Amino acid sequence: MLLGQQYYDNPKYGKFLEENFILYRAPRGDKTGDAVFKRFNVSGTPFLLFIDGNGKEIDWIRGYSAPPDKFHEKVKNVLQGVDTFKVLSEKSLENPKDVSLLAKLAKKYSDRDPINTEKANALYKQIVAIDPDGKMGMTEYGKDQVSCTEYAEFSLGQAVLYARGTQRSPEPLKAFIKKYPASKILKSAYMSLSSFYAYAPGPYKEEAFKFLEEAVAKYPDDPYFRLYYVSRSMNNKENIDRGIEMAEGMRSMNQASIADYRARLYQLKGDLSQAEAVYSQEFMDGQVTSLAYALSSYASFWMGQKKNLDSAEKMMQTAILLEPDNAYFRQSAAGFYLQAGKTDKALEVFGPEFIKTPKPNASALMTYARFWASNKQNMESAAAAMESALKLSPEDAYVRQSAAQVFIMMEKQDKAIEIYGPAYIKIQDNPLALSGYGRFWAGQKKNLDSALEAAKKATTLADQSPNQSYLWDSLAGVYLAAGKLEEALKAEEKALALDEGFNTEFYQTQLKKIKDEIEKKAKK
Amino acid sequence: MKKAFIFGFVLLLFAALLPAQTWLTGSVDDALAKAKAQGKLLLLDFFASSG
Repeated sequence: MLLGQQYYDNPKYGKFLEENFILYRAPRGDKTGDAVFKRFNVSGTPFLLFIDGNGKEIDWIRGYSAPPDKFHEKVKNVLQGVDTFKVLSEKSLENPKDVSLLAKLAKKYSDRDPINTEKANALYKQIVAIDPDGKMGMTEYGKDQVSCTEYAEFSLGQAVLYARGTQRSPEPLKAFIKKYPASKILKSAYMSLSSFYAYAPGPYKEEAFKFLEEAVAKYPDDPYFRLYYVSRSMNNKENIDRGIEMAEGMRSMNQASIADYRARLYQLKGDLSQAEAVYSQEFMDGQVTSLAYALSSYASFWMGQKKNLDSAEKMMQTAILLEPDNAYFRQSAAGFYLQAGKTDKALEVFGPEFIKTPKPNASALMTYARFWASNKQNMESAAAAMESALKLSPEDAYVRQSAAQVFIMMEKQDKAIEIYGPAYIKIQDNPLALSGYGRFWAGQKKNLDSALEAAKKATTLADQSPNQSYLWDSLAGVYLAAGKLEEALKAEEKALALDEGFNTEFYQTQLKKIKDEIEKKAKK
Repeated sequence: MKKAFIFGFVLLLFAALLPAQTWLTGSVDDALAKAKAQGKLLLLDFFASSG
């Protein structure tokens, strides 16, 4: 929106765009637009993709930040071939040991697809191998310059921290902090790890608080580190007194006031576009959503205590008034009313009317279907919502798995199999989707032959995948669910052998579980 | 004279309200063909109305 208001709609840049490009617009939520998103594998917005007449991707720009003049420079650079993806790719072939060039290209790749960072990671590994001491070149990090090797190690650490499943580990980023105590990227590393420890489950319990204390001590003036400590404390119901101390230290944090001060200062500087960037409609929308979350949490808390219920209901309704189209708040309100024994009220806020107008997206429909199926009420409408979600996103593995879950909750296993059964794995060749299928049915202890077929197929498709150990661990889990203990043992051993040291403890625990089962069976 | 002035002003106002550029929608392949024919790059703007 801001991109449109400040850049596209500004006559200062309009003529340039019109003269130099053929302009095409793909709106999300529109049938044709969604097809274009899919065709070019684009997820987040805003995103600008530049393609030549032969369909080759020349470059891209992800996101928009004011001032528009600075953004215009980026667009002009694309036209002039300054550090575009095309130019960097060609140059890196001529100079394969130029680490600054490789770092720029790696950043381009992770900008193109921030979720699947394999191509960027391969380049970062190359940089570390070429220049282990970090002396051969620098790269930009915000307004600073850091060595390419340092940046590459940080990026690889981030990739492992955000990896899927059991590949996730904080160790590489912790090693980064140890190796580069004066790094300009240090605070970002602390921030990522703090966020990880705030929400990561079980196995990191011991080290989490130790790290979060360290982060707060290092950055005492930054309320976000305290917030992460408080989140961990609440999630694990541990160190509560210390959590309260931390929360008290956060009192000064009021984002709206900070934004107001910043905007006023930018205005005094004469930079209204920057004021607009920090104090925008989007920012206020975020504030409204945050307030709605706060109101909904307040209502859930008091409902749990069975106290202050009139006030809780009032706040719950205010949350819906603030965010009428958000399925999360409607679901929370419906849960609130079901707990209060008021089914009619629950249906009023999150009933069949919600899935009719305005038409919600697949995610909202899934939320609706799962909510009612798990509460064993309003089932017909829940099934209809799930069918609509499937029609909207028929190829999405997550939607199919959710649909299977919903229909199993409704005791309609045939329907679940029809949607997410053997026919599905025949058309699927994504190893993670197949492995997810195997894990899902293993968890249900149903459809196990097909689950095994999928989990095996996943391992055969993944010779070069960084998720190999995860896929073998999935296969072991399916074998275990099917009672094939020897095969489970072999698969788990394979997972352990392929592990790069990030999940050794987890796989060893799984291995022990399988060995215990084998022993138990032998005793019988 | 006054009428002509008002007419001119309305025209100017109308021009200011016109969209700054022409954005194609529909077939991307048609847009690509147009880019090829004119020797220009195709700029695809992926956007969501909420953000």
